[in-house]
Amino acid sequence: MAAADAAPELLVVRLGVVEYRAALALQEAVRERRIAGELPDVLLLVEHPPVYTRGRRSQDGDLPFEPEWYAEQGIDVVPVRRGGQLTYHGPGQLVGYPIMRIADVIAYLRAMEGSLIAALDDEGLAARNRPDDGIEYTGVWVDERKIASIGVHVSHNVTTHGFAVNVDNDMRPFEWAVACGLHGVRMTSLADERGETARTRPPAHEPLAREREASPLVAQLADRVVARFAEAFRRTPVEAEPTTLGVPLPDAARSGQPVGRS
Amino acid sequence: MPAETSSTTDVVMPQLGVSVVEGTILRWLVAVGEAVAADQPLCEIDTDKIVTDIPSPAGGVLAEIVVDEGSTVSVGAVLARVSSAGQAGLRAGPVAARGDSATCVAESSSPAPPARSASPSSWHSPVVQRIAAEHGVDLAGVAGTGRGGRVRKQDVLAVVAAQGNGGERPLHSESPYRPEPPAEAAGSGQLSHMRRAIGAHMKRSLETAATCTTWMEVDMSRVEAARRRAKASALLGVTALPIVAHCAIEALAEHPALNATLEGERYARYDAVHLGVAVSLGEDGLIVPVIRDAQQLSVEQLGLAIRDLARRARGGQLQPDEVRGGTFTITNPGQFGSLMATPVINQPQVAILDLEAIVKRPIVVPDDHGDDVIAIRPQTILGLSWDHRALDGAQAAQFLGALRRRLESWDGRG
Repeated sequence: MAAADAAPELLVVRLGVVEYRAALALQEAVRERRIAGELPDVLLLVEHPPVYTRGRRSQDGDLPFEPEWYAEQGIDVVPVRRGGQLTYHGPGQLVGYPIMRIADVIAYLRAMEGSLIAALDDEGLAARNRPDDGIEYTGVWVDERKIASIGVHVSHNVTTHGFAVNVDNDMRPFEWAVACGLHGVRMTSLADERGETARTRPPAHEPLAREREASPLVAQLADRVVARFAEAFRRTPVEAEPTTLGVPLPDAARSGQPVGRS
Repeated sequence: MPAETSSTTDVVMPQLGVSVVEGTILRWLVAVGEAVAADQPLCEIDTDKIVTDIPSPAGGVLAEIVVDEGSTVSVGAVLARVSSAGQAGLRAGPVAARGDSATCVAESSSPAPPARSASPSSWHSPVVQRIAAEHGVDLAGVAGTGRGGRVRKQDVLAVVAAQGNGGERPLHSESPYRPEPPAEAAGSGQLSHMRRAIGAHMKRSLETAATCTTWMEVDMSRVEAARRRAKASALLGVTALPIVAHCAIEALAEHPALNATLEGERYARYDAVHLGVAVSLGEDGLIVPVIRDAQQLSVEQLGLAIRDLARRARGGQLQPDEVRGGTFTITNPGQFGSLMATPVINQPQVAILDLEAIVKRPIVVPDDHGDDVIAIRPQTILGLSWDHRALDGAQAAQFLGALRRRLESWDGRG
């Protein structure tokens, strides 16, 4: 505050495991305050319990097995008001929701991709983005495999939604989301690329249960992403408690284990 | 011309970046006739990875929505028109029925509006113009169902459809060739999700792999004899598939380069054989359930596993884990009598074995004295499609040779 020329603040709030729907409501509340100028730019970091989100272009066949089967696995299915395909979120995946005032949405996407590439590089993994391949290739890739998905919503020049990096998540739900294991894009994760079995993957005989021990690898990458994200957007990261946001918080966000630095 | 004219401002689909060429209207946030402030979001557009609102370029009243929800338009297309504020007549806009409000604006406040909106039906969106140009449709003759009689995309498409094949142009203007009229379809409709998924998977394989196919003829006398014995004792299934699978698994142990996956530049060989077996679901398509650790199974166990998977596949009872993680695949069109078919590699695997029909043929064999004689033998042709990025023809042929040796010397063990 004293130094007028210091980089603007980026409030970093680590919320732990938050249900997808609750995180959506939280983002919208924070966006209201950001639009009103009551908050600086914010980066929310969460993990979601297993969930498929389906956009308007998702089709019934995208989830080829019986609904009961997904329910048995403990995977929620949430319709969302956006275009695009079906996606999966789950424990071991680092999800970031930047709520920022921006001027140029494409520049914003590229900077976000760049920060994730730098964070993965810090972990020794060479990743890339594909700006020349078309907007549908937005995201972060390792060769032809997709490691991070990006999708943003801009309203009144303020963003919601953001990125999801597969760090240490059980990758099988991606395979369960299209008929007979066929799909156009192969997903990968940091653990997959290292040839490790995801720490969050349950034994074969158990369903994809909701309660899972947090992966230290997610916390580690979260720290790197915060540093690289702030760097890419020339912000000073300020770690803050969820209550700082001044919005109603979901229960899990109050009691949940924070992502990363605790 | 009266001095007071209403000025309208076009709301256009913005250019978000060079790679974004079109967007879809997700929803309208403001109804026609409602007052809007400058920069107030009018609608949301979706460009696959980005959902963004479109702010009003001026304060006033939303006079017209040109592009409906769910429609996809190119960058620069006019999405809506906003009449500028200060027009007394426009203030009454919200009272007017929505469908009539565009007309209401024109009548009440703009006796001499800009040429474009003088007759709403004379202006056509870029999409409509493109379709009309492609199909040679005269838009003046198309009855519009949009606001104020505007010709919408579906109107021009309906005209194109009504033209039928009479409107089809020859492939080349100087060519005498005219496309044949399509045969009367017995049934038509959208491809099923599974058909589209199979199509995408196969296309991707052919575009990804350097696919080659190697053929080898095999004398199946000993296998057929074993099958006859087995049928008598009801131990085995009636096809040669489990025996071929068993021998193929043994041959893979000798030639592990084929029991592998290749993703990008990442090539991985496996000790265990997770054997995919293509199962036809009839018209519904095809599925490839996987027998895990197939190298641990006897011929009888393989036969039972194949039968069980096929039965459950056709009953739609497979678990997701049973259709993934294969390292090598066998397909068996021979059961329907086919002699040769080039299989498509099941990505990211590097080879697929094709078992064809077993047919009696006259072939030359040595007799007991080592002399050549012609004998009647059950013969088959084994086909192996393999990825030239991962291996070479010699390895493919050596693998088939190893498989042939095992089949031709099959002694009925399980």
